[in-house]
Amino acid sequence: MTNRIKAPILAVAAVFTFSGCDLLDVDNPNSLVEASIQLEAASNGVANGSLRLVADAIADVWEAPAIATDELFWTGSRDAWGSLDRGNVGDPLNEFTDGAFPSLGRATWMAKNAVTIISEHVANNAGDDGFALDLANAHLYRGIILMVTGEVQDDMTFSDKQVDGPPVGPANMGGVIDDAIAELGMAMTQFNALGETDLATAATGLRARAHMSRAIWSEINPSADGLAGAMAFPMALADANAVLTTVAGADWQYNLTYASGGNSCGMCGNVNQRGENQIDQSIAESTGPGASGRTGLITLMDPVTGVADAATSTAVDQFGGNQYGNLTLASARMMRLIIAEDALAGGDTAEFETQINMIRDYDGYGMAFVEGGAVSNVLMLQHTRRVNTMFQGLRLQDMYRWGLTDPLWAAGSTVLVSPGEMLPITIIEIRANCNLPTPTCSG
Amino acid sequence: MTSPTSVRLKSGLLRGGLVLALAGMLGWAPAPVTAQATGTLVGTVRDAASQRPLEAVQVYIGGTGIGALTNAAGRFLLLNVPAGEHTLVSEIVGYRSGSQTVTVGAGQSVVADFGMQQTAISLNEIVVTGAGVATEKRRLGNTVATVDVASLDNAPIANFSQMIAGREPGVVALPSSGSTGEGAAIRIRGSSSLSQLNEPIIYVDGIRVDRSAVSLAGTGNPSRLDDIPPESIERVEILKGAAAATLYGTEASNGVIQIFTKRGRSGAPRFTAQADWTDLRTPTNRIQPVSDYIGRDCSSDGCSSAADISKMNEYRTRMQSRFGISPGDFEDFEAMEVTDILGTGFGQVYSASVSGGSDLFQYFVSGRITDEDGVVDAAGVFPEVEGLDFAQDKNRRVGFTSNMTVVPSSKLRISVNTLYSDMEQHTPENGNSVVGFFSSMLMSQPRRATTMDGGNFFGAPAFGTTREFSYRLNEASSNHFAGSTTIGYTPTESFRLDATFGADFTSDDRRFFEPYGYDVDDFTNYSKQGSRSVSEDRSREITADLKGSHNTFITENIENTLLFGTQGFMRQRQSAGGNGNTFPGPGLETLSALANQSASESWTRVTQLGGYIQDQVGINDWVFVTLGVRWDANSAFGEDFATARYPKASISIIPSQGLGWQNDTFSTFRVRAAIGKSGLQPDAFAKFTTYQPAPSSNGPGVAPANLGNSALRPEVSTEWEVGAELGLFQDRWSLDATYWDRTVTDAMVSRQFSVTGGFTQEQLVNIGELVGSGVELSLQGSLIQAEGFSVNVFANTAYLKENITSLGGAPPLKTGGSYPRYRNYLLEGYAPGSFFGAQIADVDIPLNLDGSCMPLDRATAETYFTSPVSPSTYKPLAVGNSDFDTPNGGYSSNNCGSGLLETLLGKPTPDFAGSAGFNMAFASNFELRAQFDYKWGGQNQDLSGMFRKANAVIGRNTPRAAELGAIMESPTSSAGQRLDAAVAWAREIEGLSPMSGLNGIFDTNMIRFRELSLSYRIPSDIVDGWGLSTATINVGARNLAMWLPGSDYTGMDPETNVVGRCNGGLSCNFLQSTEGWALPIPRSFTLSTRFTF
Repeated sequence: MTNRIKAPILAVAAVFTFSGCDLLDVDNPNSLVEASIQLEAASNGVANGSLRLVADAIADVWEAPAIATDELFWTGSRDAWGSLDRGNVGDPLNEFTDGAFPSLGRATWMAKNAVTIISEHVANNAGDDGFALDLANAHLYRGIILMVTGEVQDDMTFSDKQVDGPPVGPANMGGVIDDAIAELGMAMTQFNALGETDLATAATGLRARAHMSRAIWSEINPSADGLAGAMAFPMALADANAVLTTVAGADWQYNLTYASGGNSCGMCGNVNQRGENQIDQSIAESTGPGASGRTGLITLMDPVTGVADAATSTAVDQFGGNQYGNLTLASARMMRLIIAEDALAGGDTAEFETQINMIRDYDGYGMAFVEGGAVSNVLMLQHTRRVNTMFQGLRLQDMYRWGLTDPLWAAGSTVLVSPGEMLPITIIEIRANCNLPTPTCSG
Repeated sequence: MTSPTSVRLKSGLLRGGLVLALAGMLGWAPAPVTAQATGTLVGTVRDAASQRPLEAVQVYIGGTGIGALTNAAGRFLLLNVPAGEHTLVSEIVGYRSGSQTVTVGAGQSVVADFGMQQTAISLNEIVVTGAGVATEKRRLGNTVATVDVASLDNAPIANFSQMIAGREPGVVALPSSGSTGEGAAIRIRGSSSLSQLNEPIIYVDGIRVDRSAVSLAGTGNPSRLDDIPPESIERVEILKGAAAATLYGTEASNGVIQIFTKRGRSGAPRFTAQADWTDLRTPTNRIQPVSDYIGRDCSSDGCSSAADISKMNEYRTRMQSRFGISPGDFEDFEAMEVTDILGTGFGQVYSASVSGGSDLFQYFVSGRITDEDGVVDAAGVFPEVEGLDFAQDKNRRVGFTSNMTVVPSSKLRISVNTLYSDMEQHTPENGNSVVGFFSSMLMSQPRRATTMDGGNFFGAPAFGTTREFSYRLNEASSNHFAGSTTIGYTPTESFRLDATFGADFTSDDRRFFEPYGYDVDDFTNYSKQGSRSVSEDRSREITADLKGSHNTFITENIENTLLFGTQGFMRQRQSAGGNGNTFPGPGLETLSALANQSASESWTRVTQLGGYIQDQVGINDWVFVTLGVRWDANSAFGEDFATARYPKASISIIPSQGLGWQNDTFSTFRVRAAIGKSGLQPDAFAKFTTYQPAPSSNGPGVAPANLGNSALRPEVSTEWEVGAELGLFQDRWSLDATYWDRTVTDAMVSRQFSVTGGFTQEQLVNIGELVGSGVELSLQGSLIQAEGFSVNVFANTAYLKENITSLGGAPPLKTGGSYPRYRNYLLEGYAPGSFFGAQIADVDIPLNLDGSCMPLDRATAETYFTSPVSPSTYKPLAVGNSDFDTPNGGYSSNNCGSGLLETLLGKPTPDFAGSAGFNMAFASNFELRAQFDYKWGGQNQDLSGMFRKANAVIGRNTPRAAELGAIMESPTSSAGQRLDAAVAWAREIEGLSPMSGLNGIFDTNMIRFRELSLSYRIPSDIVDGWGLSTATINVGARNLAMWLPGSDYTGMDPETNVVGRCNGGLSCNFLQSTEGWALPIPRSFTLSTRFTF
């Protein structure tokens, strides 16, 4: 080969050889790599990421049990909602429970990861309030998602990347709520230490709810007999009273908020925009699907006055007309409900009446409830709890423990055959997690 | 009229057909000579049968170096022909060589016309793609398919997708939908990847170009390939798989399509002009009318309550005012046609080109304008509302191409090629969407329909009205530029260097707009105060290709060709956009006016560097052996993987030439074999563990994204093929047969890991194996060859068999994620994308009325139906709707027997696909051409039909569903009638979740009358008077008719699907046979005229 042939070949080879390394080194500015989120500078972003995923998960996972209850009903095109409407909450193949489960799984992992990462920063930066606040928030978010997981799931796994976690088991899900209580307790302590009163109140109220839910979980597991009546919530009382003391007479709420630029509420959009599901006809009148079908007429009546229930109206309004509704996790009303029910369970009907009427005062009712009157105490408890915890992820458990049914529930459905059963580990996890019994996973 | 340019070719070159053709292709044009005692030869070369003038025929006098190419009118002129007797030869690929003896006197002008006979086999055809250098097909052991664009001049073809559809066995263009502007997906030999886009890579004049679709709204997604004006294409070469595409390395395992645009030739400017006018109509014969019955949504048994009676009377009153009918209770009726909103579309195409040049410089420049206004006609149905515009289905393209070639010396040749396209696309909301205009028509419930003033003209049951959704606008403005420079340097006769550099740029501005107050019927609740999203997407693909070839004779009989080269490639995509909702008032259409806004931005880049070397040995010019290898490094490979290596080997033997196996019957025979590897790269950043932005109500945050895999490497396709070509009856007939076999190892599987592990996105891992094999047959020949009348026929077929042999332990993958209605799975032991789902039990009464899963006798079953029954209140006796092989479904009371993944319902790819047709020339100036495409032996899912039949809210509106539903719910039906209706319902209607797949997946065989054209070539004595070279008038039609023999498919059009022309992913790859709400492919009728001068 002559030199005039060799020269260009060598030149070309040299260009690619010496430039090759740089050309093949391609950055990804769209995303952070693993090491980046371990940096102290990312501490707040990690905590906020946890909040985002927790909020997403709750907006996703609450819709299925809400459909199964008398809070929502199916009006759209996707029949798996109809299946839930008929009470089939235990189907791991249902596309909507299956669609929500990853959201829950992602949130539980991120919440734990956030606590782990930020704890390291706190340990390395003693006295730095910024990191301490991030950690307190991380505990709060982890407590919330564990609480909700324990409330809505019949079983759960906690994996770590490619390491499959074993199923907790339906009999052990109460332990998940116990973990939530512990996390919320840490959050409460740390917020108080930082002087973050509002956040400490939120953590306290959430822990009260978690204690309440733990008691309800014990009532409906391994199965619900529907005869619970009023239940005592001794572990929740102190927190509930503490919150009420702090907020004084305010109609306090701790909400997950959804807004453009951040996250939207999947359940809210599904009901208010798409019209796939609608607020149950027993709550509000509708002539068609979605918010545009609502007439504004509240069909759920206050048992004392016989007029449209005011708390229901407030809840429907808060649920909103679009995808940016607020979802309430704890409230002064919930705290009073805890105290009222505990009192009723303990035979203190006067306290029960007092708390119920204080709740009614938030809505400006002129006519008070009188215990032992025309409206029974239990009925008043059930009604007050329904309208003041509406769209808050608690209705199915209440229906189980009180033996309430939805006229749409079909014979043979989960809720009738297996009362107390909540949402399953769904097919996406069953197929992927080798600790679960499945013929398709081979490691 | 133009004058052919005489050229003097080296006699040595003329002896070899290869080099002659190469010289012609490259426009080799040494300077003319002067002579004494010379004359002139003129003549016209025509197809002997059709009498069609043939352009670009080489006409030369052997041994003199005198020759010329014919012009568009088939004419040639040879100047300075020495006086005396000569043998005049005419040659062009696709025809037998012609020769005649002519005697030229000094100063005379002699006329010598040729009538050339077509051949059906062309082993001497020159190809470039996959071979590295211009090479005769006969030297290659692998398949290189070529599309003879010249033969399609008169075919009713509007774009590139239509140009390649059905031309070559194993190459499938899937039209996807009847939406205006929709591009076709292209598949070659099925699927070679489970997770990556299965489209071939595309080269235009040596550089990689963007092959993506402009994604808009379900369907109606234009393909970038249709940016290339068909009139500017000289030829298309197709490599069907790894055995042929090895030199293209990573990303070539789905095959390679290379488009060569037209070049200028020396001579005076030659012009062509063409105009097409097309009428478009949606075939409506397979769209079932909308039916209903009064009494469907009663809350009391038999609609006996006062409220229900009142509701039925209200419906009846409404029917009277809307349709002028008054149906009785539970009387099913057909009230309106879904097609009311579909009108007649119109398309027009205008194109022109000019080419010419000198020996030093040649040029070809073309321009094209297309405009198509499709069949959607909302304005023809709904009254105008001030301030609101109906969505339109329009596509407009303006394109230019130019090729300039400079030949500064006999050793150097420089070409500069450019392509520019400007496109505007408008598409109504469509596809598998509840807010689509066509889907909303298909889900109409006539009992809900009102007069126009009533606000629900087509009886929308949910989501919004058809009129409201007709205001949802999807638009795109796109630009596409490709430019390349090729420098060819030939320092010696045996050595050649080529360098190609080029870049392909695309820019898409995509816009979605819901105007403020578009809820004109006060029904929809989707962003009633308006919404908007915009996205600006930019792509850049840069190619640098350097190669050298050295050709030498080692001995007198052994020829050696060495090829070596290196290739660099970079693809970059950037996207930025915003969206939001809630305008403060009407008239505002910008993002900044929205109350709720969010923004996004993304950026990806992939770079690849590769090198290759190949050596071909030719023995006695009839045995050719080729060996080669390619190496690639790629930025998408994981940190633990360096380079990929792809070897190849092939052999081609032509016994008919070397062993003298030739006679009048068996005129040509070749056998060939090839084996090779190529790859497919991972997604750009799939190797990294990443976290993505996740803003929260407390401020910016991060959340898990990719799980990451540092060991990620390309999947490797190893393919071997054997084949033979047989020319019969002096090559008037040919048979081409190929068997191929492909194994994809290290196949990238999108594995789902435990979703509670934090990373819910699937992660690519190299754990799969996919095998495929097939047979491709192509037959063509001449039935009749007579002067002025000929009939040529062609037929091709491809058999395809595919199987996933391993998913490496990963769980089965399903299209559409948790969406249960898509039933295509990736499962070991089955064809990719196989359908699984519920199946009705094989018993007399397939009803699971008591949940026991036990068959019931008729008497017992009738007791269930003694009073009216809604189909929603019970389930059929079905198997296959659970993932678990446990009695009673394990987790579901609706399943009675085997698990979901044990009930195979079919596969999306047909066993056989191909086309057949004929070309008839008659009465000297007429040509009639027809092509039928077919597919056989596959299954299709009729998803929109499943909705229409079974969905309780938006369906049950087919005539049969309404008929059976009315019987079951009517209080006047007997128990026996209701039971019979329920059994029919179970066997024909029931479906969707939790019976997903039931009554929706069907055997589908299809024959489509794809093309018909009649062309009339105005006689030359007339067009001469007009100053033209040629003039042709065509009438053509596409998609004239469709038959589904031996099929029970219920859908509107089995060639449409839910994904349209898409850009990759599991659903894009394997939902190609799932029809869902897409407009059927329209029939089109085209009148066109074409002139050259």
